[in-house]
Amino acid sequence: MGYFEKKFLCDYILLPLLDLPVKAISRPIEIESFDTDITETLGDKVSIVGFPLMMTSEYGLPLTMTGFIATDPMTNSIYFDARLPVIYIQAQSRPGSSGSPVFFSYTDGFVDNAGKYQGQVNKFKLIGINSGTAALGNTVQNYLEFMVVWKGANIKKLILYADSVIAKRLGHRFKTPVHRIN
Amino acid sequence: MNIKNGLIVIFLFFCSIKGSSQLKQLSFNEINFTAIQVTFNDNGTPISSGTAFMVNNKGAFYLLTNYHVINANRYSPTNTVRKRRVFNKSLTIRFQTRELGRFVDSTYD
Repeated sequence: MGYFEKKFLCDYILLPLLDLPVKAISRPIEIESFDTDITETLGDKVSIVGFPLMMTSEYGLPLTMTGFIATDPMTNSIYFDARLPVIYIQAQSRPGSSGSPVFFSYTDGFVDNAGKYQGQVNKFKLIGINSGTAALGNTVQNYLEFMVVWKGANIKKLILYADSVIAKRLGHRFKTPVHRIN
Repeated sequence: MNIKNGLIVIFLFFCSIKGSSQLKQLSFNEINFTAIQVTFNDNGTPISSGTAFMVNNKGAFYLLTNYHVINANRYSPTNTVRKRRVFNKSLTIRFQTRELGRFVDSTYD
């Protein structure tokens, strides 16, 4: 199984799914969700969906946690003494929740560019991917309450790059066959 | 006859309540379905586990997760942290199926 990465710099990885198991359902995040017209700011509430400590709900579904944006999303942050495209989220991260998508959902009304009020618009934006927690040591007791999240905009660039590389190798764009079961 | 009709109406009313609550539950779960459990194995033995999610780029699906999950090592941008030695690595992805609580595990080398 091939994969795409930005080695040594970014803690995220991309695996092209050339096929899915017949019974698997696909609920992918659309690439448009990486940069919607809504802007998150400091202190905004975000949702983190994952499996901390391998915990699940009754049907084996993931847990949804809540956090708050702690660093300015427009700027980079210092992580491992390096200036990297990460933002810090004030939330609890535990082993197992690595790789969780971090969403910013918007359900209230807003005034659009034409000055018209748009009520109850339910939009969401993928802020990024959770990479772990800032910690003072290796034990869970030393974990700080700050999650390290790699920005979605950079992940999108890697996806577009991967798409072009695979297209060159195959001679055409690949499409994942999705099995429809009625 | 009227009592029978009344009972049918009450029965249908309760069915509709049950149906709508199930729909509500399912629509909530649709958001949750985006997260997938992944396990990294060495010689078939699970050594690390994490979360992943699928991204759709015009029909091309990608699985996105952390570098440190899939390589079972600790991450550092300078790569100074010692890697764990892995002999025969594989990745198990736990996909959801249409039946709630049923999964299909797919292992990739």
